[in-house]
Amino acid sequence: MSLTGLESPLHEVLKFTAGDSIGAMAWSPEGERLAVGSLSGELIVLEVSTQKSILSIPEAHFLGTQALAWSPDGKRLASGGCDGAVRVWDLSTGSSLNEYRFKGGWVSHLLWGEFEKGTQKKGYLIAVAGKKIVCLDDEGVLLHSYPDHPFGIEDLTWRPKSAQFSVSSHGGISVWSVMKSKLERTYEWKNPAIFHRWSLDGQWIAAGGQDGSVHIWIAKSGADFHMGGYMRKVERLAWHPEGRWLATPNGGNLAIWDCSPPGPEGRVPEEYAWHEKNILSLAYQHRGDLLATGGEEGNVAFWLPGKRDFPVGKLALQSAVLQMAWRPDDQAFAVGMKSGEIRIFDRG
Amino acid sequence: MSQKIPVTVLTGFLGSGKTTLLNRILTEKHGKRIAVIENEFGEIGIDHQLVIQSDEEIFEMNNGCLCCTVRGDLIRILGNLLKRRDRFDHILIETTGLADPGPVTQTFFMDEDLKDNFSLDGVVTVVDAKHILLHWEEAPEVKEQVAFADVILLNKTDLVPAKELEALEKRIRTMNRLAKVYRTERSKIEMDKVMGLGGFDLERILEHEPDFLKAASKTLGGTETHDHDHSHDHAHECDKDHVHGPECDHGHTHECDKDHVHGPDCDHDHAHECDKEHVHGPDCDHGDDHDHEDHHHDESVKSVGIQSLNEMDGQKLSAWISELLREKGADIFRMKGVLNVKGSPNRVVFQGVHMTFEANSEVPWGEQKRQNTLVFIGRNLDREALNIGFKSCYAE
Repeated sequence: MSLTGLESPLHEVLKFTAGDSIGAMAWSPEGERLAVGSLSGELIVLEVSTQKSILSIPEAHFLGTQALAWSPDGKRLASGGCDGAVRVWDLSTGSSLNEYRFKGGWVSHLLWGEFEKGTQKKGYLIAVAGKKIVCLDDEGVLLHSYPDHPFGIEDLTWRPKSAQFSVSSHGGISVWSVMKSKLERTYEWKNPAIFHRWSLDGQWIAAGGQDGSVHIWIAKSGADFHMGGYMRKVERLAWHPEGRWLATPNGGNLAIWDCSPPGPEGRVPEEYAWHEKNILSLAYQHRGDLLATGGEEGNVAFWLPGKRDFPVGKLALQSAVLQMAWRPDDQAFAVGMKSGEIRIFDRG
Repeated sequence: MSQKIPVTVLTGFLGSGKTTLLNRILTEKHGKRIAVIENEFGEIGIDHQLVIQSDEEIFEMNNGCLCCTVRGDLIRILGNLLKRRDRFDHILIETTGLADPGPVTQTFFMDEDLKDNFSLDGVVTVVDAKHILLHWEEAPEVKEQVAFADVILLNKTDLVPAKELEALEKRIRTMNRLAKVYRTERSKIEMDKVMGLGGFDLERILEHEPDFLKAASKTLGGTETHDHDHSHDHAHECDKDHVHGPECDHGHTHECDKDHVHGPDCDHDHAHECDKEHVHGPDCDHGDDHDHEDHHHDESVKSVGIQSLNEMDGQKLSAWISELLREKGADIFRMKGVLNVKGSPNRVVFQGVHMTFEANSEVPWGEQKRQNTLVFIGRNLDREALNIGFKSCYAE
C-alpha cells in the first residue's frame, strides 16, 4: 500500500546531526536503518526504531564520505569517499572487512546488487572514481575493472531488469555488463550528462545536462528527444514509477514532462512554482504517485504531478535539502541537509 | 548573501617555478584556509589540509564550439566544496605546464553555481626568464599563459643578464599591458602580490602605462602601420568540423528581455549566439594568408587599449560587444573595461574571457573623472576596427 496524498500528517521520528553537510544517504533493504555519510568524512548508521546510531565512524573517508551502498542482504555496507577508497563494513562487528583504493580521484558512486551466476546468486559492488569503474565482490575485493572512461563520470545507476549498469558523462551514457568488463551499448549526446535515470520498466532513459537541457532516449531504438530552455543545469530528475511522468527541476520550478505516447518532444511541460530557490533534490515514491522536492531554501514539498498543480504537503526545514529518499515501503521519508541534519518523517 | 570565494589560477610552463610558488603560498603564515586543486602531475611537497588532485578534463559546452570550453573536473570538485558547511577562504588552482588558461577561467563564467559563489581573483603566471624564449614559438600555450595573466612572475632572474631581462620584459608587456610584472628569484614574492588582488583596478594599473593608451588613441587617426585586413569570410582551413547546425541548442544563448547595458541587473553573461557558420577556435589554422604577423618580431598576441571621455550609449555598446565576441571571441583572450555609460551614476565594470563576460555597476563614480578605459588582449587584434566600433557606441 502506498501514500496517495498527505491527508494524514507526517510525524518526525528521528533527528540526527552529522559533522558537516550530508554527502550520501541510503536506506537499508528492509527499511529499518539509514546509512549516512557526511562531507567531514563520517559514516553513521541510524536505527529508526531505537533512534540510535548503531555504527559511527568519525573519519571513514578523509575529506568526505560521498557514496554508500547496502549489500542486498542488509548485512554489509559499502562506503566511498574523497580519499579514493571503497570500504566494506560488516554491521555485525562494526569493522571494515576490506578496502579497495583507486589511484587518485574521489569515489563518487557505488551500487551493490545481486545477480545469478550459473545456479548461484552472487553480489557485485560497482564503484566509480573519476574516469575509472571497477567491480568488487561482497568482500570488497576486485573482480574486474572496466576500461577508462573518456570523461569524468558524473553518475551511475542500474539498468532495470538486467545485469547491467550505466554511467553518464560528457558525451552521453554508456551501458556495461555487471559480470564482465563488457560495453553493452552507448547513447551519445554531445553535452555533459550530469545525471541520468531509467524509467522503472527500462524503456526510457532521461539525462540532465550541464547546458540546461534534458535529453531522453527510447532505450531499445536509441531514438532521442531533446528538451532545452532550462534556466540552469539539470542536476536531478525522477521518473514516476509507471514511467508516464518525468519530473525535472527548472531552477526553483518543478517541470513535469508527459512521456505517454508519442513522447515528450513538442509538448509543453507542466510547470509548478513554489520553491523560493533552486530545487536540489527530488524523489518519487517507489510505487506510489507522490513526488518530493527539496529546495536550497530549506523547504520540502510533496506533489501529485499531473493531478494537482500545488504542493499537497510541505515541510520547512531551514537548511538546503541535498539528499532525500523514500523508505523502501514508501511510508517514511528521509532528508539530508547542508547543515548536517538528517531528519526522518513517518506517516505513523 | 555570503561573500564570493576568491580563486587564484596558477599557470606557468614546465619548470618555471610554479610548484615552488605554490609551496611558498601554502607555508606562508597568512591565516587563510586554502583549498588547492592540483594537476594530476602536481607534487606539493608539504602536508596540506586540502589538496585535491585532478586531471584536467576539458570539454566543449556544446556542439563543436571550440571557445566554450570548460573544466568539467572543476565543476564537480568546486560543486562539492560548495556543499560543505566548512568554508574555505581561498581556492588555488594549479594548471599543468601545457595548459591553455582559457577553459579554467571560463569555467567560472559558465557554470551557474560557480559563477554565483566564486570570483576569479587573478591568473598568476610564472615565467622562466632563462628558458621561455626556447618555448616561445613552438608552444602556443606559453603566449596564452602570458596573455591571460593578471600577475606575471618573471622568475629565475638570477640566471639571466640584465639586458636580456629588459628585452624579455618589454616583449611580455607588448603582449599583455594589464599584468603586473614582478622579477623574482626562486619564485620569492610577497603573498599579497599574488593573492587577494580583489579583482582589478584598471585605471590604477594603467596609470603606470600612460603611453599605452595614448598610443591607442593615436591609432584612431589611422597611424597604425601594419594594416592587417583579414576579414574572416574567406576560406579557412579548420581541421575541426564545428559548424553550428540548426539543432545546436545552446542553453546559454544570450537572451535578455531587459533593455540592456550589461550591467547591474543583467544576470547573463554569454554573448554567444551560435547561428553562425563558424566560430574561430583557438585551434583553427587559418592558412598562410593569416600568418603574416608572425613574421614580425612580435607578436600575433598583443594588447589593445582604448580610452575616451565620451559618454557611451549602453544599448549600442552592448550590441557591439556581443557582436564582437561572437565574431572574434576565439581570438580575444581577455577583455577588461571600466565604462562611462550615459544615465548610469555608477562605473560599469566588466571583464571577459573569450566569448563569455560579466559586468557589474556597483561602484559609483564619486569624485573620479568619468571616462572609458577598455583593454583587449588577444591574437590578431585589429586595433583600428576596435576603435571604430567603440566610437560608434558614443551616446548622441
